[in-house]
Amino acid sequence: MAERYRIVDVSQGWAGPMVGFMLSLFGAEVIKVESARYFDWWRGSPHPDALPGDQRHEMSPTHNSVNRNKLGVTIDLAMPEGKALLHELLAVSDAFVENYPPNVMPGLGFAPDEVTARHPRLVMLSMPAFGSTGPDAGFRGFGTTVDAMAGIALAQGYADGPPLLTPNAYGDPTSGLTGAFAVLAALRERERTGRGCHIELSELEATIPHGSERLLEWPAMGVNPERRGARRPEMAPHGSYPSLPAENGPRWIVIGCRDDADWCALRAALDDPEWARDPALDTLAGRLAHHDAIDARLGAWTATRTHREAMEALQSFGVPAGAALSSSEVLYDPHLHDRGFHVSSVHPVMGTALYPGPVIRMSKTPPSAIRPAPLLGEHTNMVLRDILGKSDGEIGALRSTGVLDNQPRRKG
Amino acid sequence: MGKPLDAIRVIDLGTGIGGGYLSKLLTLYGASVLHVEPPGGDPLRMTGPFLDAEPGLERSLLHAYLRAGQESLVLDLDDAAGRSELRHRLHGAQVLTDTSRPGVLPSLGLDQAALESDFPALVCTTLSEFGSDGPYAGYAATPAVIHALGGWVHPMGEPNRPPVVPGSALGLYMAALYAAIGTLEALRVVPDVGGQRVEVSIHEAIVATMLYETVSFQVRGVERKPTGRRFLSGDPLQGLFPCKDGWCGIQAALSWMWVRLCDLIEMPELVEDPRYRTPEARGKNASEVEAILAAWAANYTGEEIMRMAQANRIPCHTVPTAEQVYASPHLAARGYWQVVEVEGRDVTVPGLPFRFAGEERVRRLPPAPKLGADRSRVLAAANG
Repeated sequence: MAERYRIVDVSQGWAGPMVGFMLSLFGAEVIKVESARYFDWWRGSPHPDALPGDQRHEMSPTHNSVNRNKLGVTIDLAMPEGKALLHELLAVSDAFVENYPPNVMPGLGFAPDEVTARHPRLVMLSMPAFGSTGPDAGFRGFGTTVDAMAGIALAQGYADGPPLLTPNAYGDPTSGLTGAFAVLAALRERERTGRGCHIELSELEATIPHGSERLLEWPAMGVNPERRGARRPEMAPHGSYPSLPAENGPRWIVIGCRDDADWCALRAALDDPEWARDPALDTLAGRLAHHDAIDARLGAWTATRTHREAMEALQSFGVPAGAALSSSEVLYDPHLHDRGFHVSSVHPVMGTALYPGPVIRMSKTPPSAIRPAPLLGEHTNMVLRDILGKSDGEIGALRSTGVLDNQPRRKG
Repeated sequence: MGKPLDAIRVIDLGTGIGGGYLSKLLTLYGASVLHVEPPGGDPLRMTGPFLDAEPGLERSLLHAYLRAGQESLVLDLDDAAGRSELRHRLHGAQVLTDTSRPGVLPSLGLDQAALESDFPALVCTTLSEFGSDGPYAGYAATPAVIHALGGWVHPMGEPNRPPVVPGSALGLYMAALYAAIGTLEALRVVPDVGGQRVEVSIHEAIVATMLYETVSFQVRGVERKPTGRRFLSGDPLQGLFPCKDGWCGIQAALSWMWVRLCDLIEMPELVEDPRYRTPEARGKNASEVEAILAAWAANYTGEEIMRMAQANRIPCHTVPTAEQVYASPHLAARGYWQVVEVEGRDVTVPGLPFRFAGEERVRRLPPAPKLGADRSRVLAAANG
């Protein structure tokens, strides 16, 4: 039987925690390690007006999404007792995930070469934003930092406007997925060699390939990518168009004609109006030259329909068209609903909510039901007792030192 | 550290960016990939940017980058001989990857039952736009259309102006990663369950990242608005700002970063100012906060802002052009870039997304195959 992996996850935010979440869907047991002072920042910063017993750190929907299916323990890694406990966990684990600037783990006594020397079967994944070497090695980054530094932000936005960040902190999910791939690859290699290894994943280097479509314009032609709004040089028309507004704001639809056949289909869908029969529009070059005029006509047609009505009418003729769905519209999208994509989970503090389900659909080994994200330190006793074999007396003695505290404290 | 996938043979029917990045990940870490292309070639070959802006089957840098080190075989799968050849190839393979629309593989006699009975240990990974069922399964799509239906387009732009679309087909790369992960897991459990199907919908891969829309919406009850240069409409501390030489990014999303930022801009009194003391207050007075930061940023270059802020552990950054990304001394010092030959010229392309400790740096990638060029070599290997 394939092994059931155990993963120790001391990472924070989105990118690092996503690694363990992905592997948990394949049955891995993931132990998320935080502490009272250094709990996952994606739980939210301590609020200036927080009173004792404040539960805001359990209410972060984003944190509670990417940390589902994990056991949560609190161990203060600044204390010697905490360092010893982490080593005990690493000794019985297959992978170890961290995403701090490169001085942090060595400072705590967990330098990668020392960790892999002491635990030779362990795969350790480090995910510093910019890597552990090079002049900018100590730089910190959110996913948004990384997507801008990869050249992605400057290449998107209105042609007459500023660059734009991606709305999903692109460097984060990208690096998390790349990290999950990396850990599985290293564990596969361990089957052959019996040895683990250290993996370094610079979030910047994992994200740059995803912008290659635009980045390669530099070596290809010696030009920097321009911002081009919703248009594409190889498709016309291509854009976002107004539709009837919803109760809570405007709505839009994205339409793109990949080729002349799509253009003919669009004409048919619009009942072949006279303006569209202009032979000047028969070619891509012609449509690009008259893009503004096409947009005005097409936008007038979409503006009298809801974005879904327009999409369905165009799709029935085979025209690529997609409603630009808002938050609630994605959450309750009928296609995703039919496919059972979002799954419900009951969190003891945040309550019942829908979360993204498994993106990877495995025909024979689908994931088990997904458990809610752990409360801060929720499983400390269980992990110490059942995995590390500590007695109640030993756990009590550790508690008295404060190393297992789980009440949020301000950082000193 | 060896190459974890070096015993893996992949038959790849995939096309486009998604199929390309999936196969690239498998190739980089050791798999040998036979790219089975339709007559006329993978449309990626005719996707720019092209060398010197001149289109040509062997001139797409995107193809050269994503397909470096693979083999290419042209098969007409509408023809019985082509299908027979494909089945022959599959006997020596562990993985079949595919990006065709739902229903295409079954029409080639490769439905799941046939695959399972004839190739019981084969992992079959499919990357499709909207998955194999549901109302959008048959929809026509461009990358932007999939992003729109995934909620990615709605927040991108200025309020009251039609949104823009992502600058490139980002969601396709992400979906390829999901497919690559699923492929590794399926290979891992072959001894237990045999081969299986691994399916990834690009649409769902996109939706899974829109946590600020989907999951946050349920808790906060507020639709994500177009946010312009900000990351989130209610937070002025995460966004792009004009600076002395273009644009910079200010990212001070955590409370302690705001405190340090106030020190950095020499306005420590802002920390206790009731207008800015809490995240809620800063959200309410977001335009004022932005004006304060913009006035400060205007005095410095992006590079200066990045270095001053990073010295204070605040993750501010430049907003580099492609030329500047390529010229980064940091990436050069790390030996990041790789080189691939295209039409006799060396082209610098992005390097490894991660590294195993002690792994030897590879600077030069083997070239991407010319269309169908490896047929004789592939046949010889099969017969040998």
